[in-house]
This record gives sequence, structure tokens and C-alpha cells, in this order.
Amino acid sequence: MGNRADMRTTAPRVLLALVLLVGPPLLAGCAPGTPDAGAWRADASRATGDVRSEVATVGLALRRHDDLFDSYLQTMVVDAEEAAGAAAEKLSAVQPPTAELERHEEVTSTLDDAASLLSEVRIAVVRHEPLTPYVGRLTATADELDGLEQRLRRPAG
Amino acid sequence: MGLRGSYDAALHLLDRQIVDSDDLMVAKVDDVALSPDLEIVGLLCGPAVLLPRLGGRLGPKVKDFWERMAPEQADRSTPCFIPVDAIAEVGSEVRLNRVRQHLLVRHEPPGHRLGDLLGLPVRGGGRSLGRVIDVRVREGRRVDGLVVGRGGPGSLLGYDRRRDQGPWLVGAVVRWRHRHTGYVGRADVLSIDWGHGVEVSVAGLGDLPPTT
Amino acid sequence: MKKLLGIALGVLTAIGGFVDIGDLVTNAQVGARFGLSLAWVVMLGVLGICVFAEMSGRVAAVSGRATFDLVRERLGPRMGLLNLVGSMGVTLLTFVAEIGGVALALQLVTSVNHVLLVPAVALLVWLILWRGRFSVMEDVLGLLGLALVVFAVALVHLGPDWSALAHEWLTVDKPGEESWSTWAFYAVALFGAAMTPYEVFFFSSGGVEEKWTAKDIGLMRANVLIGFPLGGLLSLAIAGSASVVLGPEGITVDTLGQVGMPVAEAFGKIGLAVAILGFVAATFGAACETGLSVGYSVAQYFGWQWGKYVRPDVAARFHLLLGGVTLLAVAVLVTSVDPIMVTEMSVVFSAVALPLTYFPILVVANDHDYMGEHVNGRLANGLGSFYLVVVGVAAALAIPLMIWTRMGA
Repeated sequence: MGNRADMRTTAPRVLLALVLLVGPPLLAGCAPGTPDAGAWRADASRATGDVRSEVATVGLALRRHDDLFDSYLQTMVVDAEEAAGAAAEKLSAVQPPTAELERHEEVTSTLDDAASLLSEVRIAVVRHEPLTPYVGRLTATADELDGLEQRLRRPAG
Repeated sequence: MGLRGSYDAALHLLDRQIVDSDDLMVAKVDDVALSPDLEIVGLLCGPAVLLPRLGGRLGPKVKDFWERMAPEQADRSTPCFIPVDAIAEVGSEVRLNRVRQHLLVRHEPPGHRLGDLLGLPVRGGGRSLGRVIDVRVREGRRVDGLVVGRGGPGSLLGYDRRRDQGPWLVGAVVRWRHRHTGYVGRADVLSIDWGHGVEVSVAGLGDLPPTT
Repeated sequence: MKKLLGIALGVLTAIGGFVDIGDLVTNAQVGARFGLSLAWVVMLGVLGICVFAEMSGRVAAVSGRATFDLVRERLGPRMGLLNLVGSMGVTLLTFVAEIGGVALALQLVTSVNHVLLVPAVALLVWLILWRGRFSVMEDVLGLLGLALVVFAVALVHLGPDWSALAHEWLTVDKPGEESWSTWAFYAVALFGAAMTPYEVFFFSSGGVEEKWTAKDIGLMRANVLIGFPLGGLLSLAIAGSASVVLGPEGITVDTLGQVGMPVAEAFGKIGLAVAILGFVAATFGAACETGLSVGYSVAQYFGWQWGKYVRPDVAARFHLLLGGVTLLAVAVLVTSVDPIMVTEMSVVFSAVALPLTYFPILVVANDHDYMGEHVNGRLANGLGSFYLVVVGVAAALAIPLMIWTRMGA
């Protein structure tokens, strides 16, 4: 509440502090800067984790597809495919630091593979094709992504 | 006549819901109209009085903006008026003795607004005593004196009325904030310079008299 | 049956706080990632909302004044407007999200894209807000929302390791790979959701709609003491079943489809049908609750006639506003924004709205002029003061934690 004279002098100061606090990060967000290796690892392991979660979701749904309505299964698979695609795309737009160039290549291609596996599953689900063959592939992919995520938490080399 | 006894106008009247004789809602008490010799003559409502009460720099700005939205209307800065004899009872709501159809007319009687009195700085004996945070009314409508202290209008929240009003934590904080708050009787008010301040003849504040 | 319907208001109010679209997903997310280590936060929230809903309901029963009347009266037009902006931020964003949420739930049974379902859902919501009787709305949606109890039954059926769950809960056993800051973010988000301000707006205004008087205080308390704990129980059941089924798979939950998986695992298609019915009813109920709350709080700030206990033309501005916000919701949702993301953004606004809503309730519930003999007792005051501090801390922490943890990522 405070009295009016106080408000008048503090308000601009608070505003200035806000601008100084929020401004630089906003400006930095405008140009594609090169993140340091740590930031890249955080981004990469987060994206890998997200895709792994989507692959695991579809795996679970396929194992249980007798318990699900067709429309329910379809919706889940489509959602997972979209989310995985978005995560993979977001990471591929990150400028990799020199030290991590090699792994960047590896991660993006693994994520792309996972996303296209989900697309294959979606096609099979919508066409009512047999789904059992995909269960094993999904489990294997999820395990691969899990291993990759663990490795990405440590620096390269 | 619905206004009875002595009470604090900002706490008990301002911002209450107005309800008509059929229990239908009419408006809020956005402000209170005072006669030139400070007697309550009616209730004011509408943006013309609500917006200035937003206070600080926001209040005048939005009021100006609101008027400029329809510059051709001569009565845009005039609020709606409910005369004091339309009030049947004041409780947790202000009940009127008539129906709401065609009740509100744009009109403002000569005099002042309670909202303009609240927040005015008070000076006495050459020093600042605080601001008007509430207005004590006696016999239903006569302004008897000013509650002066630090804080916004109504910020006593009624904690001056009885010691045992809980919860303890809120009561303690409010009373501590208002440890310098006191009372100036109407007789001690030398002059009110509307829009600027109040000059009183005493150098210190008295104790708050009890309300009934 | 009549007794059961008497508590529908409490149940419907609690649904908006504990199992609306954002909470459905957040609960399952928290369960899958943190097990039951955040369960005490939900219980803290249940007790907190019980304390303040009881106060606001008592004020409404004794004086006929709903919560935003008190806000305007005790805080004045300036702080009242700040609260209005903050709580509108929460309530309006949630309303938008709920309409999207109904569409998401229907998508699970129709496989029609949810964006295409939005206009039809919005039309139906608006028709209920405009024409539906208040009591019918609360009875039907409140009771159908209870279909979510299937999550509790599923949790029992799945036969989890109860001692491990109890251990997680009692010792706040957070999984090692999650950081404490993320844990704290979800704690604040769950607590904020449990105590979200539109619950008291809706509950107290609902009491006025039902024409409660001081004689109905007992009924009001039954609503509080059954409704909110039930909401908390549903919330915990969703988290628990997700922790059993989705946790071991390492799934992080971000869609409604994932939330329903534990029920499908336990009971197959029949269970899933019940769960989807619960999703639709809960999101629909939350849409009505938040939509009406927008109308209630704006009308109470400006002093307009509000409520469904009068004909729509008597409360014309109130109904015009409801129509307007429904149109706004459609406009936002057809941009195909993710409704679940929308509810997460509303956390920012609750930081402002929470303290400014609960403080005036506490003050007025102690005011003898207002409440007469029904003023707060020691228990209500002790708990009320405690929660006022907790709410203040949670409000202060919400935004820094959100930025620091990138919304719990």
C-alpha cells in the first residue's frame, strides 16, 4: 500500500531493475548463439529423454492395444509422433559446440530414426495392421535412447 | 432513514453492494456524496467516481481515458446519484426502499466526495500528522471527525473497534502498522484545501472514540 | 439421494481444483516422476482449501456476500482491481484450457482432432451457462465427475507394493535423478492448484445461488468436508496409479491419453470408458466452474446483478460477459495452442491472486458486524493464519521456481 510519494519514486526503479534483469536474456534469445558444451548436453539429454518417453508410451500402448479403443490408441500414437518429431526438430536447430559436433550428429540421427519409427507405427495403427512386430523394435529403441541419455549427461571423450 | 449511529464511512459504507427492495443488485457504493458542510447526502456510483478512486497515477489516467472515449457526452464525468432517503438499511449490503427500474440518474449535488477527502495529508502545529484514512460519522450522516494515520483508506480493517477481533496475527500486524493512528474531531479542523490537504489546530492526534 | 445431491456443490468445486485438465496431467506427471513423494503437498492443499472454503461459505450463508464482494470491500478498488486482474488471469486461462480439455477427452473416443471439436464444446458450455439450472449443472457434472474414482479402484486392483508407496509418501522419498528445485516447482504448482482462487469464488457464489442462510452452515460444512478431501483423493489416486504403471516405463506424462493408461491396464476397455467419462465430466464441470467464476468476480467487483438464480435478462451484463469469454476461448483454442500448456501459464497469475483473495476472507470472517455469533473460532483462525503465511511463501516462490526449473522440465 505505502503512500503515494513512495510509489512514485519506487515504481520507476522497480521497472528499471526488471528491464535490466529480463532484458539481456531476451536479447540473447534473438540470435542463434553457440551454447557452451554444458548447455548443449542439457538440451540434448532433455530431448533424448522426451523422445524416449514417447517411444515407451507407444510401446506400452501397443502391448495393451486389446484394452484400448481404436480411437484412443490412434490419438496416443499421433500425439507421441508429433511430440517426438517436435523434440527432435528443436534439438537439430541448436548450434552444437565444436567439442560435441560428433555426438550432435549421432543424437540427431538417433532421434530422427526414433521419430520415423513412430511414424511407421502410426501408419500401421491407422491401417489396422498387426502391431506385435513393432513392440520389440520399440523396446529396443527405448533402451538405446536410454543409454544415449545416460552418456549425454557426461562430457564428450 | 437507513443511516444510523456512528460508524466509519470508508469501512462501513464505501464499496458495499447496493441492493433494491426486490433483492436485485443495483451497483456498488463507488463513492459517497457530502454536502458543503460535510453531511452525507447520498451515494454515488459509476465509472466517473470509481476510476479516480483507483488512486496513484493510474486513477486520473484511466478517468481521462474513459472521458475521452466519448468527448461529446457532457455528463460523462457526472456519476449516478442515489439520495440518502432511498436507503432503507445498511448492513453487509446497502438496502434501498425502492425498485431498481429507472433508479439511477446522472446527478451530483453541490459539495464534495468522500473519496476526495480520504487520502488527504493532514498538517497540524506545523508538522505532518499523516493522511485521512477514514471518516467518523455520527447520527447517521454528520461527519464528526477524521481518522488520521499512515496507510491507505480503510486500512484499519475494523481492528480498532474491539481488541479481541481475530485472528491474532492479522490483528497484531494491523495494530502495529497503525500504532500512530489517531483521531481529529471536526471542531479541530481549521480548513480543508480540497485536492491538497487538511489543516488542523492540534499538534497531536487524540484516541479513537468508540463507535456504536 | 437427496442428501447426496446436497453436497454436489462441494464436489464440483473440488473437481475444478484437483482434477481439471491441467491437474489431470500434472497429477499423473508427478506420480510417474516423483511417486507419492509429493502426496503431503496435496494433503496440505486439501486442508488449506477446506479452511478457506468453509470461511467463505460461512460468510456467504450468514451475510449473503460472495467472496469478491469482500475483496472489493476490504481491499478497496485499487487492490481489488489488482486481484481481479490476477484472478482473471488464472480463471480465464483455465476456462480456455477446460474447453480445450473437453475436446481432448472427446478426441480419445472419436479420434477427431480436438481443434475441430472446440466450437461444438464451447457452444454446449455456453448453453449450460445461459440456460441450465444451477442445481442440475452441479448435480449432473459433480456426480459424473466421480467416475474418476475408477483410478482409486484401479490402483487397488493393480496391487502395488503398498509399503513402498507408504514409504515414499511418509519419508518424502524423491527419486534420485530428480533435483530438489524441480521437486519444489511441482510442490508449489500442486499447492497452488489445490488452493486456486476460483474455488472460493465459485463455492461462495454457489452458496448464494442456492440461497443458503445461517441455518445451512451444517450443510455447507458437509460440502467442504466431503468435496475437497474427495478431490484430493482422486488427485492422489491418479498420481499413485501413474507411479505404478507409467513410472517404471520412464514415461513423462504430457497427454490425457497417457493419464488413462493405468486404468486400461487394470480393467481394459470398460474401465477406460469409465475413465473417459470421468475426464469429460471433470473438464466440463471445471469449464462451467471457471466460466461462472469469471462472471461472478467481475460482476461482484462492479456491483452488477449476477447469478443463475435470476432470469438471464435480469442479469444481462453477467450473461453478456459469459458469452464473450466463451467466444474468446474459442478464438484462443482454434490457434491450436495446447490447452495443457495454457493451464501451466496460469501459475504466474495465481501468485498475485492467492494472497489478495484469502486475506479479505480471513478478515471478514472475524468481523462481528458482519458475522455476529458466527465469527471464526480458534481453530479456523489458527489454521487460517498459518495458511495465509504458507500461501504468501508459495506465491513468492512460484515465479522464480518456474523460471529456474524451466517449468519443471
